[in-house]
Amino acid sequence: MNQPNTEPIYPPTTFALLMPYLAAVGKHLPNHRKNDILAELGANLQAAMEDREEELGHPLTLEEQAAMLRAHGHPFEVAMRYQPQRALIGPLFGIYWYTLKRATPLVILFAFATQLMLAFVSPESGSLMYRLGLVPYVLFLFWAVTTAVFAGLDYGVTHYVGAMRLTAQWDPMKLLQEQPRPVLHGVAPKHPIVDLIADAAALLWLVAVPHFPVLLFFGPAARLFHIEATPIWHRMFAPIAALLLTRLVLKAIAIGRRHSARRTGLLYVAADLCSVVALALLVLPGEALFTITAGVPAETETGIQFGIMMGLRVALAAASLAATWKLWQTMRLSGPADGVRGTAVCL
Amino acid sequence: METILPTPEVAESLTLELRRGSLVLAVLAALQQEHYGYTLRKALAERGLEMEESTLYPLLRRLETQGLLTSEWREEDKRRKRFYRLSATGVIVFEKLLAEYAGLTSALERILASSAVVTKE
Repeated sequence: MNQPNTEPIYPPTTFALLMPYLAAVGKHLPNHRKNDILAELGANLQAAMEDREEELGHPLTLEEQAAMLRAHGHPFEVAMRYQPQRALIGPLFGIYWYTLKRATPLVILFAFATQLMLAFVSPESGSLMYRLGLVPYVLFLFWAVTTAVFAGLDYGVTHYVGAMRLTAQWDPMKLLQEQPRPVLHGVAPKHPIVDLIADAAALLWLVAVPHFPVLLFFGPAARLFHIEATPIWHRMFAPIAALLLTRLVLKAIAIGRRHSARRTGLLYVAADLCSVVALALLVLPGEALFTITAGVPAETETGIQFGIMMGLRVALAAASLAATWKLWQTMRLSGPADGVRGTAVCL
Repeated sequence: METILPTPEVAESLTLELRRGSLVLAVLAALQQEHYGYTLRKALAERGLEMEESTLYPLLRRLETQGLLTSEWREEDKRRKRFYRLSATGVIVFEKLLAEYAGLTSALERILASSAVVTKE
């Protein structure tokens, strides 16, 4: 295939609905194929519109453009037809995948919160590590049940209901009411879901450290030392865990699509501030975070302690600077801080 | 015995099934000549085969992924378009499909003709 340039070429503005339509289709297309598909779709639809103009003998009105786009299909349906065909879930695969992507972080969050709560409220139901070990099972169960439900729905739709027609209730004219969405370069993560999962893993690590202090080290070094967590871990554990959990919740809220760009930015700034405070709680008292009871001379231990503390201080300074920079970027965005218009694109 | 009438959805679903294979054959046949999406759709419609755009364009991509088509971005009328045509593999597959189709059609014609005789009697 000869593909010299696949940047979408949008038609002149006479087709006022075409560009927002292509953008709406693009929202549901995989990134690596998006530009190529949109360029081709745009060229085909524009050719069809030009033919229609020739046929009617006048430039297409908005209503005539809307009628053509309605006949072409709802953006979601159109995008789904470009997805590969699958055996278990066919026409509904797009909705199934969308549901999994949206719900998985919330399920992780919910499972974490529930297991943490159970571990503290009812210790006889199992140790904290045992309870947190159940989170992957909850996730697996959620995936299994969702897949089974969608497989059943897909069978029903395919065999009894026929193709789902979102188009019937869809009005292309509404595309014109959608505002261009400000892009949050550098403020929000490029892959918010992955970022959320990484945060959940970090929280899991933190929760595990008081029970397994060796987790403070990674790699072969961990096996060489006999490490014990110092009291500061136990003293600061609850506030730090609460801060990181709050950070997780704030990021989960920020993923919602109905926020303004400024509100999304502020949510990420608030999440960053949580980590700044958490780091400060760990670093500012100036106490050692662990003791090495065997295997290394005292000077070596002092060196390691100093290195770790210095690393954490640098991390604290970097996190503070990053939060300040993000706050400045967010405040520069125009638009309401709490409105629902002009939703943000996370990049 | 009570006759249960099939729902319109059943007939629609069977019609879709019947059309699906024929559409691929028609697209492969038309793409012995180079076309971009919209002109291909027009060419098919002019010969009596109406096809939804949102069905045809993804189908072209799928056939290309399967190696049956090749495509090329080219400028025409000051606008870049993606032109498709049958690949070497596509030609072989098309010939096989055509032979299968011919066999099926003649068998069906015989079956339909004999059933017409039975119905008349």
